Amino acid sequence: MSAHGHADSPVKFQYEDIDQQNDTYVIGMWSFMVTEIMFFGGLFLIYTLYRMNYQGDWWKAHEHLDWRLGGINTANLLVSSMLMALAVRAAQLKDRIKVMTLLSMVVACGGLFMAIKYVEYSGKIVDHLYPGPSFTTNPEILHGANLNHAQLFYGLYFGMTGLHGVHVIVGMLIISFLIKFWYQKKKVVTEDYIPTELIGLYWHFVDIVWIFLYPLFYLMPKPFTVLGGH
Amino acid sequence: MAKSPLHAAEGHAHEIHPVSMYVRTALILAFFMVLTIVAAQVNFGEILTGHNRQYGYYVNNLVAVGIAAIKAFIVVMFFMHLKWASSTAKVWALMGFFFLPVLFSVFCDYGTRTHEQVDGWIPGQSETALPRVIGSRDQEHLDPRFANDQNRNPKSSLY
Repeated sequence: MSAHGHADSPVKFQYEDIDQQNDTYVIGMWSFMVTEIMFFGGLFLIYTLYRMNYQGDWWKAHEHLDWRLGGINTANLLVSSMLMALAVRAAQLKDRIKVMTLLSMVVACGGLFMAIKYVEYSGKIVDHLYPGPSFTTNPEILHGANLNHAQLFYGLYFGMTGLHGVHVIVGMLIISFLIKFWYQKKKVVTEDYIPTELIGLYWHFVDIVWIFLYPLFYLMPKPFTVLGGH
Repeated sequence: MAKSPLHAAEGHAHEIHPVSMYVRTALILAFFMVLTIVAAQVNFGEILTGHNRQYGYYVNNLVAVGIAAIKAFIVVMFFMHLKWASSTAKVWALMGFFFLPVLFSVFCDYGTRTHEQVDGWIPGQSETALPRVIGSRDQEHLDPRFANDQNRNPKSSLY
């Protein structure tokens, strides 16, 4: 029996079967994520260059970041990633209530992430650590780092974690719409699990970016130039 | 003959994994998260002795990024189901992770040019250009060669 173009089938007319259709969707999502990897990749390239050049000053500047808050957010995103994976599993089982519950928890994790980011950002804005003419000259806040090199550090800190934060907010919005569609029993999400899976892939990608941002910004090793000795 | 959706549901791509697989994956990721924090407290620059001390910083960074790469691999394989995806999807996903190091190959160019031309440089006179190095430039503001460095763009009054 063919599923071609059948009104009740989730398989669109151009696909052989649901496997081929889902595979196509997953490849499409990965194509998007490859562009995202390159998008963040450019920033990681800039980070690597200036980190190599200003090891000591960046290490001093990084001492102002709270690794505990970053750690809480790392654990938070890890839990949210697991909940997202479980939500996809519930979607495979067509367990509507479970999908909506788990997705709501994912959005809550995203909210907690942004709340912690708000605390971190507001503290730095009060300390005048955003790059620009009013950048702080207080050596206590800069931990003795060179002004210009510290500005480069904070420029990339706000740029990279900010871009990541925008991705978290977009993810929360998309997942909220997904919950709405599940609540409304829309066929587009209920007849096959793949829309939930694709949004899950995006959320996991956001988690992966943070997996790299956390050690690079919050857990810098003390460089040789600061350690002293030959 | 095309497979019906019901039939396809038994295929590998649709496999429904036990909850324990996801919990185990999360626990392994949590272990690596703790490991990366612990590893950051260890300073290889202090552990290594003599001439090797200067490499400690790189060891620390390699460990940190290495753990992050392992974590990313675990997320991609198990949470993102790439382990069970089709070969085409696998190649597609690998593409991003292949082109990222290619992007970083720009350092081959950066590292092999000794000087960077800046505003007001005189061709052929290297002392008027900005030395380009891969490595620490922390002390450059103490270096007389960089005395005018902060004013090298007179239009910028920002700093």
